[in-house]
Amino acid sequence: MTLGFIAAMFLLPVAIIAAAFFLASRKKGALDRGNSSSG
Amino acid sequence: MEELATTEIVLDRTALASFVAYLVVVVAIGVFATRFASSGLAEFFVGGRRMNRFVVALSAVVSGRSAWLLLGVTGMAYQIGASAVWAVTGYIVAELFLFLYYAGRLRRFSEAYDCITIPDFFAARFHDTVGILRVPLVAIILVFMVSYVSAQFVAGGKAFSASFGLGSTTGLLLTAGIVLLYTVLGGFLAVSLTDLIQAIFMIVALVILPLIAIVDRGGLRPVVDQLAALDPTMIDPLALSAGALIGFLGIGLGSPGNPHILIRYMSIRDPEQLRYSAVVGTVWNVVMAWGALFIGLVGRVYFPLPDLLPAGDPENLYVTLARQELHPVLLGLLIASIFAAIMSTADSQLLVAASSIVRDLYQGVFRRGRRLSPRRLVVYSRVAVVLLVLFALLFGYLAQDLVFWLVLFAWAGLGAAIGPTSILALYWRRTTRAGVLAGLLAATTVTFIWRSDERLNDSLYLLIPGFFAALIATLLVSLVTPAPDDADEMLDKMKK
Repeated sequence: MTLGFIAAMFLLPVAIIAAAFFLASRKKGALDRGNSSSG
Repeated sequence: MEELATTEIVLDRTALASFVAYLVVVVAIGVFATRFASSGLAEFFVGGRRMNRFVVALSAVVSGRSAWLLLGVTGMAYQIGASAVWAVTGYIVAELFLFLYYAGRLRRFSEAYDCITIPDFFAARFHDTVGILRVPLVAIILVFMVSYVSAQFVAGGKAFSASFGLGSTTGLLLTAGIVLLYTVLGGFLAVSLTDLIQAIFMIVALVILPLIAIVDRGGLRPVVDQLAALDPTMIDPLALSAGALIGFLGIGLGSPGNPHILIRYMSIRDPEQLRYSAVVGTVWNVVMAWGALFIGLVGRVYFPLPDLLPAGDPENLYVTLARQELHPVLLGLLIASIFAAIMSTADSQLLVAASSIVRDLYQGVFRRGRRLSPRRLVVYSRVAVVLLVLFALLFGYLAQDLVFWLVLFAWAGLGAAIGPTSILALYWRRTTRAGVLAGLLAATTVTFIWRSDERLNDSLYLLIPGFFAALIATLLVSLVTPAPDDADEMLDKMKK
């Protein structure tokens, strides 16, 4: 398995998800507050 | 998609029963949501802006992913290997940023100015009282959305025909009938709740199939070794030209311009919760996309040559591999995932097209300033949904070539026209009505010209020139036309 393959198929998706968590959690408490509606 | 009918599966009784149960649940959701959807246009078209953050996350993600993800991306990874990763990276990253930054502004503005459609947003933002922006926007949305819906029905018809041995016309009518039933009854709420179920079907299928197939081939390492032995470029993510790389990443430029995705952002109850939706939506997008990529890669080990697939078409890999590897019940689930992808996209596009007719043309232009009964408007909207389904069926039947020609650049056409203009309208105070109109015209002209010229079309994905032409046209014309005097106030309303 080449480094490029590992980076594209494993590290890249993990990096995108990590970026989502990081950017979303920059605002304190944004992920903790509940939302009770379902429309 | 066209070759799908060649892959005959014909499900066994258990799989058929689970599939029928799935369709019954989908229709039952439509019935459940009927009362809520009947109370007014905002309820029918944006769920009364009361949707749950989880529902919004999944609905936004699966509305944007048609059967292209299941059949197209798997086929692409089968053909070109790991470099297909860039075809999914662009839109996933773009949608992460939309959830985090764009969506909140659009949601806050739409509540402050009572907007329930994308043309509504532009009309309110630029004081368009006579339809200078609404009419061209409606024209662009209707042309592409109806083609999209029509193509989804045709694809559904072929999937039905392949799965149940029905005629493709019967399959087409069944697909249209099911989508029509729950959409016309339950409107946006039904569409979003069914999207939730469909998102689960899609992710389960896209996780199970590659896992089973990889385990069956002895694990990941042997699969990768066999791929490398077949063709070393299969495991090289950079084995593509710069133009192809830019084109793949450029697919993401379409996300901010496709109204069936954007309308999901407007429907969330609390815009603060979009950060949560961003995480859930991104995780879902990533898992589905990489599942599709792994199916393509392991599929190449199973079928080293495209000739081994039905009709020699890599888009048949998904179904062919599933038929070979899965238990009949799981196969039923996988077939349901194709319908889920088709229906979750078609229903959202159908509602957007209906809202363009009733909210934007009827209420916004022809009956502007008149008091109209909310319940009557919902009745008109339901009639519009029925008429659009009939029109899409007729369009798909009589002009299938035109439908497929239009659909090939529907994502790009909408993305180029609405993407840059809406981003500037949300972020740049200096944007003017004339600038937006110039952007819409530039996008449409450039994408049509690019699509019509084979040399241009082969050189670069048309969304990229279309997007940047619209961006430049909007910027330049806005700068030479008088600045709007209340833009500060409007942009302030978009902030928290």
